[in-house]
Amino acid sequence: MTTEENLVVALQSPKDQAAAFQELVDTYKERLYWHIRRIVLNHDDTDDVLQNTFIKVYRNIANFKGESKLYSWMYRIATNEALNFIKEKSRKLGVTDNEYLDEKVEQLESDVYFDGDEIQLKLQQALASLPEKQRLVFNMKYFDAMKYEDISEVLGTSVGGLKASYHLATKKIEAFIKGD
Amino acid sequence: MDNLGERLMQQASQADGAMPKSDGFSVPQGYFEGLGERLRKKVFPQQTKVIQLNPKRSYWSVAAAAAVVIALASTIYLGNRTDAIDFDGLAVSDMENYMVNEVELSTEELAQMHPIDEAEFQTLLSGLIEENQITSYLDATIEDIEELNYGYEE
Repeated sequence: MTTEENLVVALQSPKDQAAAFQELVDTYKERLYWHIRRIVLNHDDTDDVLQNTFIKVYRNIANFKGESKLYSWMYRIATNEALNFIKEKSRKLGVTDNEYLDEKVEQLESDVYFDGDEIQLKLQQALASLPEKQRLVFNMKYFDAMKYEDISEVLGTSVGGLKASYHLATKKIEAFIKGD
Repeated sequence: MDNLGERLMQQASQADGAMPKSDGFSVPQGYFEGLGERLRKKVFPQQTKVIQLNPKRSYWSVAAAAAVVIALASTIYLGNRTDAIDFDGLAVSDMENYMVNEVELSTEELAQMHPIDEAEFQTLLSGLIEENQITSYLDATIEDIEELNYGYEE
């Protein structure tokens, strides 16, 4: 059995699950954190979503049948949690998801946990203007350096569709910056 | 900035590590180190260490005092009790958790236990469903929220 399979077996065993959960958190906390952070942009929000993600993973590990890789499954949960967080917040404020993200990007300038320069801020502004799927694909490909096959497993979209989304995203970002 | 797209594509094609590239975001010092412990306390609250307050006190005196209190409380409570135990005192979330974690019935099996011909349709039709209830339901049941937007965007 692979390390991942061993971890899943331990998580499903009442005797070993506490230690296995600790190992799971240690192994994936940083990767999932950065993935969520690029979606919700703010550290405190990311912390909330990340904790909810791990709790959901723990509560649903009995339903994990190994049809996909464990980390793909966790990425999928993290992505859904982050997107639902944004939808919930924007719904409460009565704005669209993109308007909510525009506001969050504006706040980055005074965010103590954002040390980006002008071009990094510009990139975030451009990303906030993209449709959801293009934004996700760009973040996962460009920042997380994930393979299209892995992104496909997380988002449930074909590799061809992902390549098209990534291409469109880069074109739009380029146009966004040139048009400024 | 004119060739940003090109540079982005170039950098993306060269990417091979799992570590994130610089995007300008940072985290509070020690954040990742403390995360595991905070999560452990949330997920396994029963494993939090309990410190004994007064270890020198005799167990026998404590046990005797507890027995007297329980005996008195039971007599008074049972003597005055008029209401029977019912479901009203149970939180819905507790019942849901019990059904999910202890009984392990799927939603389909639960549905089979309550045949549809017994459902009170008028109640269903006349009752308004709150938007937040719909959101919570979708959050709990829809795996890919994108499916709901199919054909809507682009």
